[in-house]
Amino acid sequence: MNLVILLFVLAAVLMWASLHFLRAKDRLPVGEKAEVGLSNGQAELTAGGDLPFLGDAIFSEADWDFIRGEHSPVLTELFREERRGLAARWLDKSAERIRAIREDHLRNSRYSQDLDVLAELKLLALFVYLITLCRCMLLVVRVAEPTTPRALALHFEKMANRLGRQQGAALPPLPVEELPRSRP
Amino acid sequence: MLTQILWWSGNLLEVLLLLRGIQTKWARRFPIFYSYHVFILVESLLIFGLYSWAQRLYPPVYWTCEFVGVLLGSLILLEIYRVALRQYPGTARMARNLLGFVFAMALAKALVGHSYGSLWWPARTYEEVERNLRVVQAFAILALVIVIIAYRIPRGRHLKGILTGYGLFVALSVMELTLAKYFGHTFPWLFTNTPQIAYNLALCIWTVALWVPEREEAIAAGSVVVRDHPTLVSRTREELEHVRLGLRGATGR
Repeated sequence: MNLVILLFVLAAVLMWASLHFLRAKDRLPVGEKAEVGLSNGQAELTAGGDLPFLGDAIFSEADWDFIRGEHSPVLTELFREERRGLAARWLDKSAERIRAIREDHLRNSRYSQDLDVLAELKLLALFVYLITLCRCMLLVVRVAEPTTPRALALHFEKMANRLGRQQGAALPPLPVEELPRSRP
Repeated sequence: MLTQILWWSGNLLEVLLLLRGIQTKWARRFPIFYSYHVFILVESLLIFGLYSWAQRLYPPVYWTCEFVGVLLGSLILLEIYRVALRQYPGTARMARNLLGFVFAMALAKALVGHSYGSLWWPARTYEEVERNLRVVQAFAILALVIVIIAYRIPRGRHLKGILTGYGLFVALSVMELTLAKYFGHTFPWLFTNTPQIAYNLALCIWTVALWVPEREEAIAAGSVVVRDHPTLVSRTREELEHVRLGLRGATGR
C-alpha cells in the first residue's frame, strides 16, 4: 500500500509540474535582459552598496541603549515597533537581493560551455543557506526583539563554518569569534 | 459504445495532429514526436484489426506495441532536451547529469531486483513492467522540468504543449496502472477506458499547442553574457559574500 501512495504522490507532483510548466510565463528575452547590464546582482549591489551599514544601523545596540536610558515605556515600545518594521523590510530586501543574484547566475551559467556541476551544487547550498538565514532572522525579528537575530546568526555562521570545512570551499569560513559584541 | 467513441476520437485527433505537422513542416523540427504519433496511429489500427479478426494474436501484439510506445515516448524526452537546450550548453550539461542520475538509479533498482531473484525489476505482470517504465519516465520528465524552469529556459508554445501533454499522460498512466492492480477486476469498464481518456487529453493539448506557430527567440546581437563558468561562479560567490557580510554586520555591531 505504501508503494501505491508513493506512486500517487509522484503522479500528483508530475501533474502539478506539468501544469506549472504550461502556465508559467517566459521571462524577458535574453537579449533584453542582458542589455540591462552585466549583472542584475551587481547593479543592485552598486545601488545598495551600503547594505552592511544599513543593517548595522537598524540592529544597533547603541540606539537601544540610548532609548532605554530615557526610561520611557511608550518611547521604548514605539522604537521597538519602528525597528521591527525596518528590520523586516531590510531582511526582505536582502532575501530579494540573494534571489536576484541567483537568477542572474543561472541566466548566465546556462550558456557556459564548461559548467561545473559540483560548483553549481555548492553555490545552490550557499543560496539555500543565505535564504534560510534571512527567513529565520525575519521570523525572529517578528516574534522577538529586533536585536535578537544576533544569536541566531552566530549559530548559523558556526554551522556554515563546520559545513564549509566538510565540503571544501562552498562556504568560506567567516571569523565568528571576531564578531564584536555590544552587550557582554 | 463509449469505448468506440473514445477510440475513434483519439484516432481523429491523431490524424489532425499529423496533417497539421506535415502542412506546417513542424514534423521536421520534432521528427521523433511525429514518428511517435505515426506509430501510435498504425498501432491503433493494427490492434483494432486484430481485436476484430484475430483475437488470438491480440495480447502479444498489444503488449509488444505498448513497450515500443513507451520506448518511443522516452525518445520524445530526448527530443525535448535537444530542442529546448540546443542554445544552452550549460543547462544541457546539468540536464544530462540529472537524467543520467535518474537512469542510473533505475538501472541500480533493476539490478538489485534481479539479484533478489526477480526476472526484471520487482514486476510480475506486463502492467507492472509498464508502470515501472512509466515511473522512470515520470522522474525523467520531472528532472527536465526542474532544469528548464530553474535556468529560465525560454519555453515556446510547442515545447510547453509537448512536455505538458506527455507529462499529464504519464502521470495519469502511473495512476491508472497502479490502481488497475487493485480495482481492475471490480471496475473493468473504468480501467478499459482510462488509458484512452488520458491519451485523448494529451492529444487535445498537443493539437491545440501545435496548431499555431510560435515566436522564435534569438539572442540579441551584442548582448553581454558571461560564459566562462569558473569566473561566473567566483563572481556570484563574491556577490553572495557581500550580502552575507551585510547580514553578519546587522547582527554583530
